[in-house]
Amino acid sequence: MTKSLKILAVCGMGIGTSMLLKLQLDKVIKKLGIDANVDLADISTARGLAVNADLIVTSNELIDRIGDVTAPIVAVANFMDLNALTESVRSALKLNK
Amino acid sequence: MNIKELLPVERIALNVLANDWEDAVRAVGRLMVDTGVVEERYIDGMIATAKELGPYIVIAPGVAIPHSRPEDGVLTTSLAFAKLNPPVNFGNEANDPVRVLFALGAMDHSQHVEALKEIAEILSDEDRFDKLINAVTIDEITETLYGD
Repeated sequence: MTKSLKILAVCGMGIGTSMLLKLQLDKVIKKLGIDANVDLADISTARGLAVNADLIVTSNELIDRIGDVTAPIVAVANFMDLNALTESVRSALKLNK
Repeated sequence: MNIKELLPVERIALNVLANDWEDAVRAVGRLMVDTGVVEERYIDGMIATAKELGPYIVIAPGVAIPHSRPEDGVLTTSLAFAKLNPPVNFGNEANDPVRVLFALGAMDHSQHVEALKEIAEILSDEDRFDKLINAVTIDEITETLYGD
């Protein structure tokens, strides 16, 4: 059994924007047909939690605040553009089309 | 709880005139204070959050979701909606200018999830989003938001 991927949705408070991001990422996961879970984090806890994450997704306005992490980061400008988000996640996880 | 439960017509405003983004957040926050769902200091919390972290609350072209922490004065999980006229820049290059605001007051991590899901549905549906952006009456807004 392969381990499911851990995706971290990061926003300022970990309550509104990242929740919206998680809702969109859940659709992306379904679309890509991958086994992954999305956890929420606020900007202050993100770096610690990022150690165990396979992918970090956040607003393009917050990307500079994440700091140095090993996991790839996807920066989102329009949270409602599901096609763009899907492509960004696909490319960051190096999935084949 | 769904949008209809969290966002009654008393917390919907049209033609809100705001000089700048702070003014816009104050206006939508005022709807929450006046209906007793947040304390006055929650408005300052929403502004401080956006100042500290930047305009990441502008989540899509024309749409901002100002919010702060539960402990910043939320009394009841709730939403407020304001349509700005004219639109206002928040400093988010990709998504400015902001036309509509959904302010969120969350008590915890779960009560507002259903309503956020509905908001995401509305914003990703081009027809419904156009209707919301072009609404000139409160009825048109509630029709679009409540889906009835």
